[in-house]
This record gives sequence, C-alpha cells and structure tokens, in this order.
Amino acid sequence: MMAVVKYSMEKIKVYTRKRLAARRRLLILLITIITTIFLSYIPYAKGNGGVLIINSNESVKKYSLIQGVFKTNFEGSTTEMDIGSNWLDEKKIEKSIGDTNPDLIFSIGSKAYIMASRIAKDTNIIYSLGINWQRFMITDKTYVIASELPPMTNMMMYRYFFPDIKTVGIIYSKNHNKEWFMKAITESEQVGIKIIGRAITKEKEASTALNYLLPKVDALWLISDPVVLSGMECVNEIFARCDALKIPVFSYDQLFANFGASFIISADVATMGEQAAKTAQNIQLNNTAVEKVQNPAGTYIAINVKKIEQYGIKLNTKALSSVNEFIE
Amino acid sequence: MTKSAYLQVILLRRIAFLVSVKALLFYLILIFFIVFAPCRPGLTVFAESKYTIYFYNPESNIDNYASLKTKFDLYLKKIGPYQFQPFSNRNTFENKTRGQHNCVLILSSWYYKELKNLFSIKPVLIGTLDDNSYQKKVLIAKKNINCPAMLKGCSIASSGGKEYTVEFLQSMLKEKDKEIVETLQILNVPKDIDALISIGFGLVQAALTTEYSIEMLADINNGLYKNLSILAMSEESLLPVVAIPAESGHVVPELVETIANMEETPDGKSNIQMLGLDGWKMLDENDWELLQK
Repeated sequence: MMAVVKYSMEKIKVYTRKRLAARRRLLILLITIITTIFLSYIPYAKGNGGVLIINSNESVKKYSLIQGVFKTNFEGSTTEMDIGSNWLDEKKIEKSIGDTNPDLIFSIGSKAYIMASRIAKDTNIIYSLGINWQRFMITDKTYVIASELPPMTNMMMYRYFFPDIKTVGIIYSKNHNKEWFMKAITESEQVGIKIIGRAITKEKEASTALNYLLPKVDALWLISDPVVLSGMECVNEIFARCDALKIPVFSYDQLFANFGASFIISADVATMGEQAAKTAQNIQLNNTAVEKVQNPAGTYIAINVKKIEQYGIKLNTKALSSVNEFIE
Repeated sequence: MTKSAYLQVILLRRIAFLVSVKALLFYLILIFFIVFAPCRPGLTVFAESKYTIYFYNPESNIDNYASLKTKFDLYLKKIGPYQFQPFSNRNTFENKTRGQHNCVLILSSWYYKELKNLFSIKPVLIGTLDDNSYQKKVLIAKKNINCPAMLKGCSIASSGGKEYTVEFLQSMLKEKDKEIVETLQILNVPKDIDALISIGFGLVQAALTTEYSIEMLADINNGLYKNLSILAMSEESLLPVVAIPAESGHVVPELVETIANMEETPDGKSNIQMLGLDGWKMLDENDWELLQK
C-alpha cells in the first residue's frame, strides 16, 4: 500500500515538474514573440544610425522625386519622415529623430532643414531644394545641394541654343541681387555674351528699366528677384512688352511658360538627388573632400520653339536633343 | 367571337415570337460584325491597330520621353497606324519587344551589338549628323589630371547609363588603366554639356562625353575648353541604328520607309533632331563591319 502511495506521489511530482517546465517554455516563447513584435514596430532603435530623410511635404512632386532618387542611389539604411502634416507637432518629430539617432539627415525643402538644424544640431545635414539657401543658417555640419543654377550655366546654354544672341538684359534689385549680377557680368565675358542690367528699388520702376533695356538687348533674362516679381502687373508688363518687340524672355521656372517664356532652364531634380546620395556616401566614409556647397550638376530645359521661330531667332537645331520639354 | 379572340391571341403570339426571333438574329449579326469585322484587311478600327517604333538609348540619360512620344506620335499618326514608344529601362524594353514581329527598333549602336546576341534582329538604317554616321567618345578632365590612372577613386560625370558608362570606359581604356573604372564614382547627368559644365565647377574630376560636345564647348566657352585635356579617346562607333526583327511582318518595310523619309519634312526632321541626329542612311560595308565587332 505504501509503495503504491509512494509511486503515485512520485508520478504526481514528475507530472507537476513537467507541467511547470512546459509553462516556463510557453512563457519564454510568449515573451520572445511579444518582444519581436514590439521591436518590429520601432524602425530603428537608438544608435542604429543610417540616414534620416526629412521631407517638407512628400505630396510635392519634386520633393518626392528627389527622395526616390536618393533612396535608389544611396547604399545604406534610410528612414523617412514626412512633416507635411506635422509642422506644428515639433515634439513628435524631435522624439522621432531622437529614436532614430541618424548619422546624417537629408532634408528636402526649407521647412525640413529649419526643423532638422534646430533639433539635431550635432548631426550632419544635407540640405536640398531650398529656395535661396543663403537665407538660412548654415553651420559646419551643413552640406548644401543648391537649387539655383549659376549664371555661367545659363549663359552657356543661351550660347548653345541661340548662337546669334549676343546681348542679354537683366532687371534686378540691388538689395537682393547685386552680388549675383556682378558675378554674371564677370562670367559673361567668358562665354561671349554681353549683359546689360538695370537696377530697380521698387516694382514701379520696372517700366522705366524696360524702356532703357529693350532697345539694346536680343533677349531678356527674368531672374528670381523679389522686387521685380513682387506683383503680377510687373510680370505681365515684362512679357507683353517683350512679345510686342519680339524679344524672347529667358527664365528659371516652368511657371513662366504660361506667361510666354521662350526658354526656361532649371536644375534637374533627379541629378540633385543623385548628388545628395553621393554626398551622403562620402560623409559616411569620412571623405574630407566633400564640397560644402554644390551647384546642381544637371539642367532641365524647356523651350517654346514656335515662339522662337515666330520671333525670327536662329535656333541651333543640334541642341534640340538636349531639350527636356517642348512648350506648346 | 370567342374564336376570333382566340385567333387574335395566337396571331399576336406568333408575331411576338417572330419579333423576338428577328431581334435575336439582328443582335447575332451585329455581334458577328463587331467581333470579326476588324479581322478583315484594311479595317483596323476596333482591333489593336498600331504598329510601334520602339526606342531605347542607354548612351543618353535625358528624360524627354514624354516630349519624344508626343512629337513622334503626332507625326506618325498622319502617315499610318503607327506609334512611338521610348524606354528608359533596359529590362522593360527587352520584355516588351521580345518576340514582336510588327515593330521597328531605334537603338544606340552600342546596345544594338548587345541585343543582337539575345534577339534575332538586323540593322536597316544608321543615323547621321552632318552627313557623318560615326562618333568618338572622349574621357576628359581638367589639365591638372594628366593620365587616367590619376582618376582612381574620383568622380566622373556621364550622360549615359551607369552600366553603359562602366562598360564603355573598360573598352576604351588601356589595359593598365582598366582597374580605375571600378573605383570611379559615376554621376549621371542628363546631357553631355552638363557633364562638361560639372568639370568646370569642380563637381566632378572628369567626364565621359563625345568629340562633338567638346567641339561645341570650344565655341560656347573657350576658357573652360582650354582648361581641359583629353585623357582617352574611343575608336569610332556608329550613331543610333534602326533595326527590325529578322522575321518581320508585312507592315515593317512601310514603317522603315516612314522613318527613312522623316528628314524630308520639317516636322519629321525636327523629331529626328530630338534624337541627336539629322538624317538616316543605308548601311555600307564599313557599318556592317563595325556592328559585327
């Protein structure tokens, strides 16, 4: 009888031990699963590094294009953040940057750069697609891919497409574009174009500037100047008076195609994305030869051939293979 | 009275039956014509009616496909049921054109040489520029770089695709310099002139471009031109090629003729100028030899 009880007790003990072991295994398995699921929802744990792409607004076509090209060309890990709708929720973004702890931030657009430079002061930041990057605080951690083409690039393209255009007029404001204008004058000598400029201080003076310039020039170069472009009236007058005299207007943004611009040169956004990816790669490799400010390497050209023909301007037809877009 | 009513009902039923039979016949005939009429020669209204000119040129990186398609389609639709389809991606191009018989291909000559090993195609026309159908590629850098070996680990701008740039550099450099190709950082730019300007601004140390672009640079910025030196030059290669499937459909000769005649009209000429050409010519013996190499 005692033996039976002893045997039963032994059996119960073994059974209980087995059950406890099974429970323990189940618990470990559950903890592992929960931890894995939890970690999978965190994109990068602290200290994982990589590049954090902060986009000012992904719904803007050129912003999403540059982001896509960057990701294709960058050989490393990236995390993305669109602040288009989170502009006011800075704390959330700050926490996100803290959690990601990136080696480098690629900021697309001014909004993204302002935020990144305020929150992540000690992180290298590549700044792209910001209008007039000189307006912003640039630190020794900032690398700029400029959006504005240098005057030299514009003038070389004018010479390439329109071999007979020798004199180009510019209306500008001294407060905003004096240095740029002086640079254009210096560089113009190298490409054999004569630049004639007229400085204005108020939008109303544009009319007088046109009176002075139009009889002297083969084309008018409409630059990004806040005084000249401060009102629609002035822009309309420039295009109307040039059209009346069959003087082509060269400009820097597709927006002016509808106004009647004959030739538009802007920076090629895809090439800027590739430049940014190469810069990021070089920073990560501690390559000391990385330029702090890079001009855009590619151009995007739109031309209104009908208008050029209508104005009787000689067009180098061999250059047509360099046109990205024909304005109809 | 009852009998007459009965007869009326029968008659109406018969008429109703006949009407429904007639309607059925009518719809059957209609369906027959809708389905089979397009199969008759000359009637192409309902079927997939367009014959396509496919274009792929890895030697050029310019993103002007939307303009190219619009301009070519506008020109071609005046001539026949033809359309133009440019491609920027090699795999997509090859998947789309594989096994097609009723089409014409416009390809860079470099790519033609690769594709002829995969597809059964034959060249029929060669592009020309200023009555010349040859081009030379040039590796150019600032004067402080004397030899290709100095470019090790440097950046190079090219308007061609990456695969093309690497393979072309390998083929044009001397044996002792070939090892630098793998160390180069290639920056793809849209146009040859962008590549040259990039050297001027110090964005890259060298550029792979054409002899023609360098001549053009001498005209538009002689200062920059004088500051550059040629490190290597390729052998002559052909400008883009028009090729057709070896077993091609009856429409293909008409389509080739349409392409060959493009330079005779202002619209057609302006379209081929968008491809960096100003005309086409038949292949001579030298051309055949170059394409077989």
